[in-house]
Amino acid sequence: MRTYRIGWGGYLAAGLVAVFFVLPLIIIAISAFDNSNLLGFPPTGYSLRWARVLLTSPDWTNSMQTSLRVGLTAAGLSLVLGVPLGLALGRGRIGRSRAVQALVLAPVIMPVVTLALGYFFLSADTHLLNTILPLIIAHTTLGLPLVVIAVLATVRGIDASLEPAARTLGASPWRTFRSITVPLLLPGIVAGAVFAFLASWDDIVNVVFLGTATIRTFPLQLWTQMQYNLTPIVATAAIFLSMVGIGLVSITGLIFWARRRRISGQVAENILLRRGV
Amino acid sequence: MTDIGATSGTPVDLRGLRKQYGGVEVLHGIDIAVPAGSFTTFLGPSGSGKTTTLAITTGLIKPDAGRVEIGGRDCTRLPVHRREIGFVFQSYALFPHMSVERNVGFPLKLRHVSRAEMHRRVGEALELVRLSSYRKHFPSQLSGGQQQRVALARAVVFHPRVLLMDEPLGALDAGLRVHLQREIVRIGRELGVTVIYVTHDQAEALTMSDQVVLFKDGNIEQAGTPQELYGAPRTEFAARFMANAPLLPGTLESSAHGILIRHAAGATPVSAESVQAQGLSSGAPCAAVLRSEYLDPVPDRDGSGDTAVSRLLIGRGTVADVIYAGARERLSITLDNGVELDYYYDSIDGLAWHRGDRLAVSVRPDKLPPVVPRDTASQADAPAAEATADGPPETGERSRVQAHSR
Repeated sequence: MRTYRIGWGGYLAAGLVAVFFVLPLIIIAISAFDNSNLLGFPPTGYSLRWARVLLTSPDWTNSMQTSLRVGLTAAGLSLVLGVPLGLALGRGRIGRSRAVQALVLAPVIMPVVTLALGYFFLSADTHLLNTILPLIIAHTTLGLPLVVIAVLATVRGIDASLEPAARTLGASPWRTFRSITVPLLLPGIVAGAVFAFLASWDDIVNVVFLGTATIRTFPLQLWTQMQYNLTPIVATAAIFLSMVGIGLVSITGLIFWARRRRISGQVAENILLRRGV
Repeated sequence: MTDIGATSGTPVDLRGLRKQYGGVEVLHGIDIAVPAGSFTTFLGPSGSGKTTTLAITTGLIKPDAGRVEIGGRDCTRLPVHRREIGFVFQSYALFPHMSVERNVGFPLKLRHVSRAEMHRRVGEALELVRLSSYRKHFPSQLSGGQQQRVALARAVVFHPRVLLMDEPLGALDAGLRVHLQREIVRIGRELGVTVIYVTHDQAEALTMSDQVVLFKDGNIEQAGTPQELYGAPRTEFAARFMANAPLLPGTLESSAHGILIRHAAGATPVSAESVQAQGLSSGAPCAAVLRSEYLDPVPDRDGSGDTAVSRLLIGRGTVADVIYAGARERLSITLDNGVELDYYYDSIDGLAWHRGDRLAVSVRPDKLPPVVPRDTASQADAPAAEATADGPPETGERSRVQAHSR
């Protein structure tokens, strides 16, 4: 265990985080239980009124389903493409590994607006604009680099002699992959999947360009609602959105903790830093 | 031992192995015969090809040319997982996501051994390495030495007839190394398995092996019993690598008293047996292997010495340092002609040497030092040494005699 001594700089940083990150969250969390018809702070009364609307009104529940469908599909595609890619990059199986890595990770540093606009024109040209497909592709572009980073970091932490060791003990290449490579890679795969899903789950930029009246994800529903009528359900929805993210990360963390197989702090750090969170 | 001891070793024959990496040949045709049930060590500095040879034997690397025969069967094209060879890695290579029990049971599971049988055999293997109470532990909970024992148990649990080990003790501290060296030899004998052991530590090679194969630059420099490699090295490299032996360069010369080596400080008798064994003749440039056990230093206060001593005399010199090392003490001697020698003696004998003492170093009459032919590479130094051979080296200036200390 390391102990940290906090200097004045640390208190300053902690204070800034508290003011600019936690405070808005607290305000939104309080407003989520406002029972009035118009969003205002502080609320005049409290109830679960808007939470009930959120979970029963078809507009909202449909958008949740759409988000879930897009998110899971995009995360799945990111895994299918990203796991082999991360593995190959980590093992140096792809030539000019740095160049490939840069290309794969390009979407992380590209402004999302640019990509979204590109996808918008592309799907308009190919008459796909009213389908869910462009959104899934756009979100896979967001998720893929996150999976690659997570897998890459995990691969680099795996002792390179484990697979040859399994081979000498009598395991075929396929058996070695199943019994040794995949289980050791699992933390990276799970972390990558969670981050890929969350990237899709809270995306608004792509959705504004590629969403439609029928293909409306949860953040888009929230955005539309805000422009149309500023009821406290906006705060309720925002909190719901965050809770899913926090919940997912917490559950994953608990699983890792319970299985005593942590993704190293390094992995988490890399992912967070590169996402610019 | 029970069933696990029933395995018997099988011979391994390596024939004409060649391997290139990026146009550079790292193995230039390796031929080694490893007898069934023997303990053979591949010894050499890093980059000498010993590990590559081992990896080819396992099948982890494919040779460009040559054959690998295990038990008389050509295995050159056989994939790794069908070779039935136990392999122990320097990094232990235990699967971190499996308990000790599952690690050791892994090769049995691959062979579809029943649960009860697996439980019994894992128990036997762990008993063999004395880790029976660690079944449920995970590798991260074990010390380096314990991890290497588990790796050893895992490598022998499926009764391979050959056990290969790649510097298995390289990452462990000195005390533990010595202990595990004995354990490995014991386990090898109990199982009767053929062991091939790779190391760069000559002491390890000497104490553990039946056969030592000394590698240098992708060739075999010398192969033989530990006694042969240590006592009768065939090359300068072997002499230096096996015991860090100081070499005294000179030329061979026959005399009434036997065979002498004429060197910078005179002429010293050498082992006629060694000269004959290597087919060296008079006038051949060579070097005497002056390890401590061949030396007989005496105080030299008056600068002379009786004739019996002077016939065996190597040279006169000064004690450069006395180093106490517990049971033994080491005398660093610098001869007047610049040659540096080490002499070890038991501390309990209490020879009271001091830095700066003058001494005369002779060879022991009953045990003359062996000689090795000079490397072609180092012969450039030889003429200088020979030119000064007749002149008195008392000028105090260090002659260009090649001296090897560490």
